[in-house]
Amino acid sequence: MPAADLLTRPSTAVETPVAPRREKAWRRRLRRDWPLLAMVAPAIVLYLVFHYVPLLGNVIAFQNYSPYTGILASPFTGLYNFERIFTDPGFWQAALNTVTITLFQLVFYFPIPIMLALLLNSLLSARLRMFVQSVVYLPHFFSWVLVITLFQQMFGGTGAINTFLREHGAQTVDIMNNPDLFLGLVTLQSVWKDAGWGTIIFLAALSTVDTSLYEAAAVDGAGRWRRLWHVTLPALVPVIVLLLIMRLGDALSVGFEQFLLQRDAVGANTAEVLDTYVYFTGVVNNDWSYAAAAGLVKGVVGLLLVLGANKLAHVFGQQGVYQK
Amino acid sequence: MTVVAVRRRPLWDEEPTLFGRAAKGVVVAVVVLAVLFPLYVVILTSVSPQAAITKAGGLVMVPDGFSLAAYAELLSGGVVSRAVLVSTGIAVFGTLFSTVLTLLAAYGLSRPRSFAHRPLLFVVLLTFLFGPGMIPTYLLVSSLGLIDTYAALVLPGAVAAFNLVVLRSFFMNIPQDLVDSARIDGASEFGILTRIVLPLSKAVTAVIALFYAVGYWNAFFNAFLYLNTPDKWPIQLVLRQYVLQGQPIPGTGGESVIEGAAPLPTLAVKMAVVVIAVVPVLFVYPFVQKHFTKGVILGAIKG
Amino acid sequence: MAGGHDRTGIDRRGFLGLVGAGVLATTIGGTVTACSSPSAPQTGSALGGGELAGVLPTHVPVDFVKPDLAGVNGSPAGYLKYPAQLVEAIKDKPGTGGQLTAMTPSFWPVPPGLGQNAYYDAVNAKLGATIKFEQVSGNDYQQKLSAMMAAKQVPEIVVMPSFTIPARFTEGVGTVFTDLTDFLKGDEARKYPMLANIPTDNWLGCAFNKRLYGVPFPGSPFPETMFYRKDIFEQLGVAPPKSAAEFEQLCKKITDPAAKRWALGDIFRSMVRMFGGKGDWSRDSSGKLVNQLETEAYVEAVKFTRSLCAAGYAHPDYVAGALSGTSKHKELFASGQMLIVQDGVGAWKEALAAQRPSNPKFDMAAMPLFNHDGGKPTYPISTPTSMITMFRKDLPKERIEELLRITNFAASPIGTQEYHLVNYGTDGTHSTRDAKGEPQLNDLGRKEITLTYGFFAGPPPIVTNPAYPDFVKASHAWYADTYAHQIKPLEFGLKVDEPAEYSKLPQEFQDKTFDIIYGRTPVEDVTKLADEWRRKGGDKLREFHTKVLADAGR
Repeated sequence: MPAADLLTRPSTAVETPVAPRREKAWRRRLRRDWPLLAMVAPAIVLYLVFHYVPLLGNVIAFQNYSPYTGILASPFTGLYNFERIFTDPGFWQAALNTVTITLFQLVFYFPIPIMLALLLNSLLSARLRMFVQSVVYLPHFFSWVLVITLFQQMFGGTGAINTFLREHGAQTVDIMNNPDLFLGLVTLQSVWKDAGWGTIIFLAALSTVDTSLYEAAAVDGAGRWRRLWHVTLPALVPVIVLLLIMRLGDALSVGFEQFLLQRDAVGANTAEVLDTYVYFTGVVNNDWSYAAAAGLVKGVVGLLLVLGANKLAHVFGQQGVYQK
Repeated sequence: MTVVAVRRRPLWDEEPTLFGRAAKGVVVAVVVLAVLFPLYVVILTSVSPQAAITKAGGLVMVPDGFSLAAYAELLSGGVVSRAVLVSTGIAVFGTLFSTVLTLLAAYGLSRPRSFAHRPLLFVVLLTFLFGPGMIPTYLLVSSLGLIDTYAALVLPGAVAAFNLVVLRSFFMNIPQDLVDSARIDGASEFGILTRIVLPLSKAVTAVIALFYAVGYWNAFFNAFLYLNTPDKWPIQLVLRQYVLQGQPIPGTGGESVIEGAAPLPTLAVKMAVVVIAVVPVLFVYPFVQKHFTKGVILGAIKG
Repeated sequence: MAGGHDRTGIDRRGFLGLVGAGVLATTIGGTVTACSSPSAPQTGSALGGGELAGVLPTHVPVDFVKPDLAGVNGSPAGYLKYPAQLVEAIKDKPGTGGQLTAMTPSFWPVPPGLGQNAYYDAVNAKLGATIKFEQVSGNDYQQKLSAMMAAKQVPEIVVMPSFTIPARFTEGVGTVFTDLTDFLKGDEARKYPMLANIPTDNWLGCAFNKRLYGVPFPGSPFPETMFYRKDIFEQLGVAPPKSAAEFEQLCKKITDPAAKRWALGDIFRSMVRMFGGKGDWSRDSSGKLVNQLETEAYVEAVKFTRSLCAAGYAHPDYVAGALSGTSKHKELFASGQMLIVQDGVGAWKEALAAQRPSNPKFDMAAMPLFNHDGGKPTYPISTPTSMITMFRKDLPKERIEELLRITNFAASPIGTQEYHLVNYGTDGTHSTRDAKGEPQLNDLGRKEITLTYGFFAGPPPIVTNPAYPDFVKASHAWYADTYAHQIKPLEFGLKVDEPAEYSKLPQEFQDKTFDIIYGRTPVEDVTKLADEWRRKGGDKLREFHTKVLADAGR
C-alpha cells in the first residue's frame, strides 16, 4: 500500500470536536475502515492533483479568457457565455439532434453487444468462439475516417451496391447523403465499429455466472429460453444498469469525428450534434470561454441524468452506480 | 459449428432445434463476414501498388498487383521500431500502474457503509462528468516539471472513473458471505482482495487491464502535447505523421512535396498503418480471452 | 468570411485533417488589437495596414541564376533545369557555435534525431550552430502552441503556419515573441540580403499591432483554383470553358455515370469568383460596405452550382464535400472518376509526382480563369504568407541577430549552395546528380531530410520541377495569366479579429448555402440568406468592418 502515509489526513479531521457519541461512531468506523481508505487514497490523490486542480480552470466559462492574458488577468463576464449558448437556436437544434441520436442508439445500439455476447457465450465450440470473438472486436481499432470510407465504398454513390445497380440498369439509391436515413446509418456504423468491442464487459459478467444454477434450473424443467431469462440475464442486469447510467452521464455526446466527417453530406440540420456545434462555435475560433461553458452545461446535464437514472435504478431494486 | 466441439454439451442441456442451430449459424456467419470483408479490403489496399489504388479510386477490393512498398517505408529507418518499443514500455508500465490503482480503489469503495464512502465515490464520479480543459492541464503538468517525460502520459489519466466504477460493481456482486468468512478468519483487507476477490474477478480484471492497455497503446494526444523530443514519441504519434503525408500544407498553396523526394503510395501507407496498429492487439487479446472461461467456481470455493 | 469563405479563401473544413481544432480566423497581414473590456466582450477591433510602410523591410532582389522563364508582373519565375553551378551566397557562418531550440510543424514522418542524422550534422556545421528541433505534428499544431504560449514556454525559434494563428493572438504576441521591427525595418534588412530578397507583400503576414514580429515563408496569393484532367479532356475532345454557359455544356458532355465519370467535385468558391466575387467585403455602387453573401455574384453562383448538381454533374460521393478534410477528392480525381476539382495550387505538382510514375500519361492542369459572361475574370487574393518564424521574447540582441542570420541562410534561393544543402543535403550522402544534372535524393536523403531549416524562411516562390518541364511551363503560364487578373480585396493585408459572438456566422451560412446547392432546401431560400444574415448579426458585423476600414484609411 504505497500511500499509507496519507492515512493521517482523515484522522486529523476527526479531532475537530463533535458530539461525543457521533465522534465515537466516526472513530470506530475510521479505525475499522482505514485499510479501505488507504487503498482508495492513491487514486483520489491523482484525481485531486490532475483533475480537480486543472478543473478550477473551468472558471474561464465565466470570463472572456485568452491564454495569453491568463486566468487572473482575464475579465469576468458573468453568465454571458451561457447566455450566448442558450439564446442560440443553433444550440437547441444541435441538442435536439444529439438527444434524438442518443435515444435512438439506446434502443438500437445498446442491446446489440448484449445479444452478441449471449450469442458468443452460447457457442459450444471453443475454437469457433475464440475466433469469432477475436474478429468482432477488431473494427473498434479502425478510425472513423476509415469506417466511413468503408461504408462509402459499400453504400456510396459509386459504392459496390450502386455500381451493381447501375450496371444492371436499375435506379441507384442514395444512402450516404440522405438526411432521412442518417439516423439509421450512423447507428449502423456504430454497431459495426463498436458492438464487438462492447461485448467484452458482458462476456466478463457472463463468466461469473455459477453454472450450477443452470443445472438446477434445468432439473426444475426450465427450457433454454427460461434459463436465459432466469439465470443468465439476472447476472447481467447489474452491469447493464451500470453501463446504461454511465451512458446517460455522457448523453450529450454521441461522438465527434463521425458526425464532423459526415456533416456536409446530409447537412447541418440533421448532423449537427452538440460536440460539432461547440467545435464550430467555440473551438475553431479559439473561444476558450465559450467551449468551457458548453462543457459545464454538458457536465451538469450528465450529472442530473446520472442522479435521476440512479434513483430510478434504486426504485427497481438495482444498486446502480452508488447506493442509497 | 459442429466441426470442433471441444466443450461437451452438459447432460442437463437439451439438443437445440435444427432451426435454432441454423439461425445461429447464419447470424455468426453474417457477423464474421461483415468484419472480415472490410478487413480484407484494408489489408489488400495496404499491399497494392499505386496504380491499383488509382484505378479503384480509393480502397482496393479486387487484387490487382502486389507491393510491399508501404510496409518497407514504414519499417525502414528504425523510427517505427523504436516507437513500438516506447509504446510497449508505456503500455506495460501504465497498464500495471493503472490496473493496480484501480483495483485498490475499486475494492476500497466496494463497501457502501464504509467511512467517507459516498463523498469519495462522488469525487470519482464527477471526474467522469466534468473534464478539465487542455490548457489548465498543460499548465499543471508543466509546473510539475513533467514536460517531455513519460510520467506526463500516465499520471493525468491513470485511473479512469469508468473502469473504476465497473470494477467496483463486479466486486460488489461477489457474495458477501465469502468476504465475511475470510474476515472472521482474520484476513486483512488486502488479503481479502488478493486471495478472495481477485481470483473471482479474473475476467473483469483482465478486461479492465485490456481497456487500459488499449488506451495507452492508442493514446497520442498527451504524447503530442507533452513530449517535445521526437525521439521519445510513441508509435501512434509516429504513425499519424505517415498518415499526414501527401496532404498539402495549408496556406502554402498546397505544397507538400519535399524537393526531389519520390512520393509514396499514400493510401497504401495509411492502410498499412491501420494494420500495424491493430496487430499488437491481436496478440494481446488471447491472454484476456483466456479468462472468459465459463462457469466459475463459486460453488467450489463455497463448498 | 461569410458565405463559405474563410478570409484566406480556403474552405476552413478543407483544413480539418490538418488543423485539428482551429483555423486562422484573422486575415493575414496588417495588424490587430482585439481589445476586450470587461463589460463588453462583444467588442473586437482592428487597425489598418497602410501605416505598415515604415515597418516592413526594403525589397532588394538578388539574382543568382537567371530563370528559364521570367516572372510576369510579379508572377513566379520558372526553372526548367536545376542550376549546374551553385553560388556560395553566405560567406560567414551565421551561428556562434552554441545550441538553440526550434519548433517546426511537421507534415511527414519524423526523421532520425540529432546525433543520428547526418543531414542535421551537415547543416548545423555549415550554420555554426546546433539546432535542436521540436517537430510538432502539423495536424494539431495550434493546440500545442496555444498551451505553450499560455505557459510562456516556447523554444527560441517558433515557426507558425499562418493558418494556425490562434484567435486574439495579437494580444499575446508581444508577451511571448520578440518585436523584430527595429532589426528589419527599411534598410536594416540589407544586413540580411536573403531576407531582403523576399517581396514586400510576403511580409504582410508577419506584422501584428503595427509591428513586425516574424520572418515569412512566402505563400501563394491564390490559395486554390479549379484543376481539370487534361489527358481525359483531350481524349474526350473537349477544352476548358470561357463562360458559365460553356462550363455547363462541358459538364454535360463529360459526365457519364455508366462509365463512372462525373464532371465535378466541390467547386462553389470558384463559381463565386467566376461570377465576379470581390472577396469577403466590397462596396456597392453607393459606397456601402457589403458582404459577399449579399452580392449578386454570390446568389448567381449558388443558383448556378445548384443547377449543375441537380443535373447530376457532381460526383455522388463528393456531394457537399463529404469526408472533407480527407484526401478523398484527390483519389477520385486521380482515378478519373471526377474530372474537375477545386484544390490548393500545390495539388498540381503533388498529383503529378504521385501519379506519373505509375501512369505516365496522367496529365492535369489548372483551368484558366474565366468570367461567367465571357468577360475579364478576377481573383481576389489572399496575403501570400504561409509560415511565420518568430523568436522568443527576452533574448539578448546578439542572439536575435544570430537567429536572423540563420533565417537569412534558410532563405537562400535556388542556385545557391545553401539552398542545395537545405533541400538536398550533402552531395553523395543524401543526393546525387542524375544524368540530366538534376539532384535526386537517395534513401538516406528521403529518410533524413524534411522541411525543418527550410521553414525558417523561404525565398520568393518559383515554379520548378525538373522531372516534368511540361508542368513548369504550364504552371508558369497559368500564374502569369492569373496574376494579371488578381484584385486586392478591401481588407487585403489587414488582420481583423471579429468579435467572438459573430464567429459562428460563417459556418452557419456556409451550411445554409450548401443546403441550397445540394437541394436540401428550396432554391428560393437563396434570396433570404442575406436577410437572415443581416438579422443574425450581419449588420453589426458590417458596422465593425466599416470601422476597421475607416481606421485603416480605406
